Amino acid sequence: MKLNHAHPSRRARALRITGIAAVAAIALAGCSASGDAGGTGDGGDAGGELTFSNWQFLEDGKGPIIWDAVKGYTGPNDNIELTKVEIPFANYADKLSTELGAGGGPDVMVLQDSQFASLVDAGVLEPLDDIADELGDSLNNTNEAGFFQDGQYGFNWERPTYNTVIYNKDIFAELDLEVPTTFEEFLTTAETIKSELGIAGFAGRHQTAEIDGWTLEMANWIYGFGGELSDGKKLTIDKAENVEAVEAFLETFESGVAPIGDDASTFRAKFGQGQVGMLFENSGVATTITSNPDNVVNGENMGAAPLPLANAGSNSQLIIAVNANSDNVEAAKDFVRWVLGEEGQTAIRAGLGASAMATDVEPDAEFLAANPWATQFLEAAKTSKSTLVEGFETESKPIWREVLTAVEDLRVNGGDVKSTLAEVQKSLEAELG
Amino acid sequence: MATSTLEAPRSTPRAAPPKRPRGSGAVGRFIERNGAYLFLFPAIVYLAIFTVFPLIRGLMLSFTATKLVNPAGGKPVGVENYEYLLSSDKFWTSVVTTLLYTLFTVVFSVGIGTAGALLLNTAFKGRGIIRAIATIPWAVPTVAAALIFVWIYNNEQGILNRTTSALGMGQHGWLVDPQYGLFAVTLATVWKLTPLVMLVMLSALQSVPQELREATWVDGATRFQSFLAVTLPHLMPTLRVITLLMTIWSIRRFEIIFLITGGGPLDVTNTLVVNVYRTAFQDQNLGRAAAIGALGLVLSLLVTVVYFIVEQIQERQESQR
Repeated sequence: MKLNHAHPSRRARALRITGIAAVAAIALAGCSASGDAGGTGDGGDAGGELTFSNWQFLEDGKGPIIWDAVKGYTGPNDNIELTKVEIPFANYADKLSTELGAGGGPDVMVLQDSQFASLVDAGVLEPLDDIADELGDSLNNTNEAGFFQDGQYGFNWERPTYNTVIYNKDIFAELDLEVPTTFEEFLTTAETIKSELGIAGFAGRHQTAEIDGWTLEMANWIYGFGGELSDGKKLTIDKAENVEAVEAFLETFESGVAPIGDDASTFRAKFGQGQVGMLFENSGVATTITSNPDNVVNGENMGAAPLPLANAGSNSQLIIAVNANSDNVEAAKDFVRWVLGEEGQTAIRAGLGASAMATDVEPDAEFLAANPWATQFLEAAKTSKSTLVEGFETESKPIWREVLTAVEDLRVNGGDVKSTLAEVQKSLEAELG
Repeated sequence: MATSTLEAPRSTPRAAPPKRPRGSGAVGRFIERNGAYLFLFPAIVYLAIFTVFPLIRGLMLSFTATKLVNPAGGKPVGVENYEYLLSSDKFWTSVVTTLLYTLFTVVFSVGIGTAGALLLNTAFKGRGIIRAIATIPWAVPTVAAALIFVWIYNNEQGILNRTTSALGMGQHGWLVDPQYGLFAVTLATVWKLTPLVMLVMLSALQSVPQELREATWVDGATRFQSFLAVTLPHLMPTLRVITLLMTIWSIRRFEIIFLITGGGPLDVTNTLVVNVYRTAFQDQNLGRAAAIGALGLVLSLLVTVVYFIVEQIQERQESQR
């Protein structure tokens, strides 16, 4: 006690000095830490950490293969450390849009096309025209999906197309069925499977509770019947082909061939277990189903054929893009170059199975031999179309939601398809101006 | 013993206040004078950062046309968002859905929870185990609870439809048919929340003085009369608080509804909070979502005001007895 009171000013001075030293130490540590993190330069030369965000990292089977394919990337000067950012698919668009809107987010990211259009519109993605010019002819036409508002802002990471019907070959052989090529044949085939075996002839999404996935599937029907939601300038919700598509969709579910209430994970699992005859499905899911050793359906007995509709269907388009606010834009662009190059494409191919990629890199011969169905998806990807509503790209989600809510209403309560779609058209015109 | 204060020798000099330790000086005096405020400071800062600022920011956003991906670039649009919402059938349907969901959830979880607490407060063999089992739904994470109910409600494999089929009552589209949508999410919520009400009411019941109840029995009151005269008045403050909390929580509840139905089928479970999510993250319209949030806040405030009015009336009635 005596000591303390005897030299108060000396003690205070000592405390002050200690405090200043502590603050200085923390500040230095902070500087040092940020220096270690690197990535502050505007070129790949600066080195450091590059963050790459993709929900696929969390997918069973596929995720580790994709990460293994890219994790070896170290940049042109061997001084880049790639770090994966794992966000579950359910929160991916929300989280990334919020982060990017706030000026943060990963350096490189894989995006869905609907999200991509909004982000380009908001000016948060880096223009990549120089990469497009450099790589030129090596890129295939799927990269047009990354061209928006007069600029190349991204490239095709993966195009899992829905433009295909997959079927259980064993069931078709047992019932001596032909693969359907028209809607009428498709419905008859599905009804035969249902009546003969008591299992679902077909399954698909049909609820607004799964609105994102259902958008892709409903687009398949609408495009398959030659419809579209706009002509590029104005909405065409109630055009005759759309009406025909919705009527066919409703007829399929009314016929009882498809289970009502099953979500996608349920009916996909059922297909894998031989409890569903046909699905309109994407290449990513087909790969997952056939690679599950517990499934009855495998690479050998799963068949794939063109959509039994007159026109090509839809695709889910995943795009790789660079954050314009990244501290390491040049390094990020270099990573995109590497992904699009032969080394990157070959490495990633193993994880993307039968999906179309930015270049025409062939799947592994062993994979194709074990999964003969895969070539159909690669072919179908060339003609399938995005779910973005042309001319209304950034409003695609609300437009599809209105359409799908109307389709759900028709499925539950019935009604005239043409007049219902006409009401949706009117309502959306009023809303969007 | 009497009047010790008056008889205390007034002339006795007061003990000198203890000397402040040297060295505390101006800082010590400052702390002494403003100690209460200093203790409150962290709480005030916390509230300012995490409650007041977001509230003000949200209100400001609601008067702009702001996109999710460009939160700083929203142009002022005055009361346009509010005009749009107040003239929109969808918004009012959303308000009605929220009120119905809240009413059913609160009535059933508070009712069943209180009844369960009364039952578990009586002495019977295995009471401890039953009490432990009864709390399980509260311990289950909401995501897991939602998935459990999605399976229960499955059209073909779900246990609910298998049971109704076995009983000759047919199958129902619990998550597909709009007439069952609200019922489906309400049942899941009640299952999840009832144990909490039960636990709270059980602890309130255990604080009811046993001797008071016994006194009413000695006076010839029946068990029910004893409950009305002694137990219920003791439970009322807890019941009021838990009802208010459940009401506000139900107005704000999101996860279980979104995970089970996503606001469907046909928007019958599109409560205000689900509507905010869809508008902000699916339509990317932050301005309009903020306006829905502000109107939802008004609804919560109205409920709170009603609660306080009811509480005042009841307290007045109780004090007049």
